[in-house]
Amino acid sequence: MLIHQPQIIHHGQEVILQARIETRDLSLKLPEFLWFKYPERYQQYLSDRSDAFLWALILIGQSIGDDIECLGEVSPRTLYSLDEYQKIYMCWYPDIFRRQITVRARRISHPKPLTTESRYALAFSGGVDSFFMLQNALQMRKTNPDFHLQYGLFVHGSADIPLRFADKYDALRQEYKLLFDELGLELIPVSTNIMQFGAHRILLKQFLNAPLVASALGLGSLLSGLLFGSGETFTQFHLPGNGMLISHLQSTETFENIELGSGYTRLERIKAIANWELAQRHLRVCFGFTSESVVRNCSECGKCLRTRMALHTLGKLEKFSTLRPFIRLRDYVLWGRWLEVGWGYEIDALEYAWRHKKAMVLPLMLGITIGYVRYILRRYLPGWISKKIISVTTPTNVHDLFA
Amino acid sequence: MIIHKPEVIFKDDKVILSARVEFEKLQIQKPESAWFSFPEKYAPFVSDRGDAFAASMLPIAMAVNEGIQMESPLSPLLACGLGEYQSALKNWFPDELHVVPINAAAYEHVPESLADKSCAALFSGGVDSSFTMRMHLPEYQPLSDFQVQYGIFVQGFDIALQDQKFYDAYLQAFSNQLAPKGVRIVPCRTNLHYFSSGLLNWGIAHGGMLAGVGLALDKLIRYFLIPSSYSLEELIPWGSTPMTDHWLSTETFKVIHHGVTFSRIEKVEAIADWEPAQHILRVCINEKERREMQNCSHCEKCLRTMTMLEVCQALGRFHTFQAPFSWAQIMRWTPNYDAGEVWLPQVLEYARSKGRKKYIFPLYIAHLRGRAMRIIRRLTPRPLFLQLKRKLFPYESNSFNPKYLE
Repeated sequence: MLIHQPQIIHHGQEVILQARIETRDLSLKLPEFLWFKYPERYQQYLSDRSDAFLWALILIGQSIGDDIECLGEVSPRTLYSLDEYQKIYMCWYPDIFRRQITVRARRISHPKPLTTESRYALAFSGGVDSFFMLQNALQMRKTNPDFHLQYGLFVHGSADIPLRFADKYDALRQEYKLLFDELGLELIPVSTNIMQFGAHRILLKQFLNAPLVASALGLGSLLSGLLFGSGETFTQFHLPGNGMLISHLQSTETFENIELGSGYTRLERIKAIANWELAQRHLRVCFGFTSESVVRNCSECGKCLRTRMALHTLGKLEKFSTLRPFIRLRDYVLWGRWLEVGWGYEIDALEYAWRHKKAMVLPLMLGITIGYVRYILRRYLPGWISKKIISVTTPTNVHDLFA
Repeated sequence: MIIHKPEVIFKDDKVILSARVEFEKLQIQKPESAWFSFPEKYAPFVSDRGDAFAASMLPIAMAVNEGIQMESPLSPLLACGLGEYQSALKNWFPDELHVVPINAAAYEHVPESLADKSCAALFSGGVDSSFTMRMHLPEYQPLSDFQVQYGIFVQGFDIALQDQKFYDAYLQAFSNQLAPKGVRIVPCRTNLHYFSSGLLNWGIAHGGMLAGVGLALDKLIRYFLIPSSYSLEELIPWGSTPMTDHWLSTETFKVIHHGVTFSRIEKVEAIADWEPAQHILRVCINEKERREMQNCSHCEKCLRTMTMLEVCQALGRFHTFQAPFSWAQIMRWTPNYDAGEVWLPQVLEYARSKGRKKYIFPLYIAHLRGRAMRIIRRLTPRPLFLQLKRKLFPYESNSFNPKYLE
């Protein structure tokens, strides 16, 4: 894979950072360019180095077994960390990432240090982890004022908002801009076609970080780092794909990728934001893949149900205006159908209900039983049967939305 | 816990970075000050900030449930990282540790102009640190920023401060072996272990202290390599892990937990033909039996390493173990399976892949011993286990009891 020298192109009210991508195997039909679009006013901060493109494409290159050559400048720290990063993915997913690829850079150089004080951005999507991190970062601004959080980064084309959902993104962008204005922060909207490279090649969960980190690295002269909320807890360090082992590797000499919040379970995070009015008004947890008309939450998918169930357990669901405010028996059944066994969400909810809301224990048990039966069937039945079960109990292939 | 403003003191050709540590309600006796000592020539590089002490003392503050009040500036990035670091420790050791507040007199970056760009590695002479050292020599590491220039050999972690002769012998040997490779060995003495002894398991306490040593030289070091103890598939909650070590970085000082993607047998194989390791490999933790430049060759760590070297057909080239080595010694090895049944199956697989069938039977015997020991450990009620431990290894005779410093 050849990553050409990135270019900065002015286009209307936007500025585009893009690089031509060539692969040896033309049958892969990858897009010709990988691009990131920023509002015009950020033009002076864009970096034409290759670090952003390398972090965006490393897993793609590894999954197709194509060595990478960069014609632009790459930071030594990036090159050093890529070695470990690839090896970790090989250990976690040996079937997808079969070998370590060679990464060569024509020019190796340190990025220029920022001329101003440190400035951090928070990756923001409107979800539980985003609000939890926002709350924490605002708190940190008071106790550790030199840790400057100044921006929110909202990415269109990441794993939760496909590029084709343009109206939905625009509606959310306007809503979040007002939210960030209210907090004295600046929201940076970014679009990228990065998911077109990953769709149908690697798992969606392996591609959650890349769009965020690459978009932030594109703003190399503006940001000292990117903060984002962890999806896991420290006790889940053994699970493949957990960010606490790899996120910090996606850094350069002048940019730190910082994943925070692994010390809290999902229920604790939801509890922390449950009384925050801003979260109650703006929370968006839904992938909303089924329809573009669902701007915020469908209240029916696995993620919506997971959050609604947690809020209901905490007795706070009706305060959240973006979610359906009541839970019926059918919701428990659906919740069980989507349950992701192994992450402990259901155990946390059950434990909390046992202590504080005993009436919920039985219906929760019903959902959990359904979830575990589905899990066991999927795991232990012969492939041709389990595939049928998966097709009935799993959402449609979302990769099609990004291809 | 109040950590007073650090002082830099010169004494007997040494430069000492010292900070007074005040506990609010500690019952057992601890030193008055925590300190790091280096040869005087490193004085221009010694930090005068509190970062090193904050990182080192955090697990202890968590153990005694006392918030930390720093009377010196703290790096903003480190302050953020310490929050996550203690979150991780609290998640893993909820019964032993508490989340404590950390407040500093000020939050200030280390000025970029004061920071050097060197790469340094912690070096104890063991398998992990030898592997990390070798992988960062120019022959393996093409990026000059990550070529190791300094190896920091600490007295006060696994070698007690009163064990001077033993430390000096290895210090001389390390310097002799690594100088031709372009690596300078930096001797460092510290009394940090004397703070954690009797309060907190060293396996939990050591992570912050390892980083603390590097932070004490933050004007010299840009990248600080901490060799990993466990590989990805063996990871356990521990003081130093790839999930947590990077949290102990500052704006100009980066901690790298190195080696997690290599199994132990791969590390042993990588150093098997490395001449410096053949002369200085130091793995033994048996303080009573080990001698200058000689591992005891009987303890679990010695038997583990000797077995792996033997299976790699390299043991004969290593001068720090007793010869001869026979199958019977492999059968005497009771592998420590605290991190899961990993090490021995790796060796078995390696022996099979290399067609070295003669080792397979004794390795199976050792595997059974390890498994039996694991079962016994699991069946032993924890209070009984802790009582036995206290009886067999009383605090009074612990080499890191502060009474030995008097």
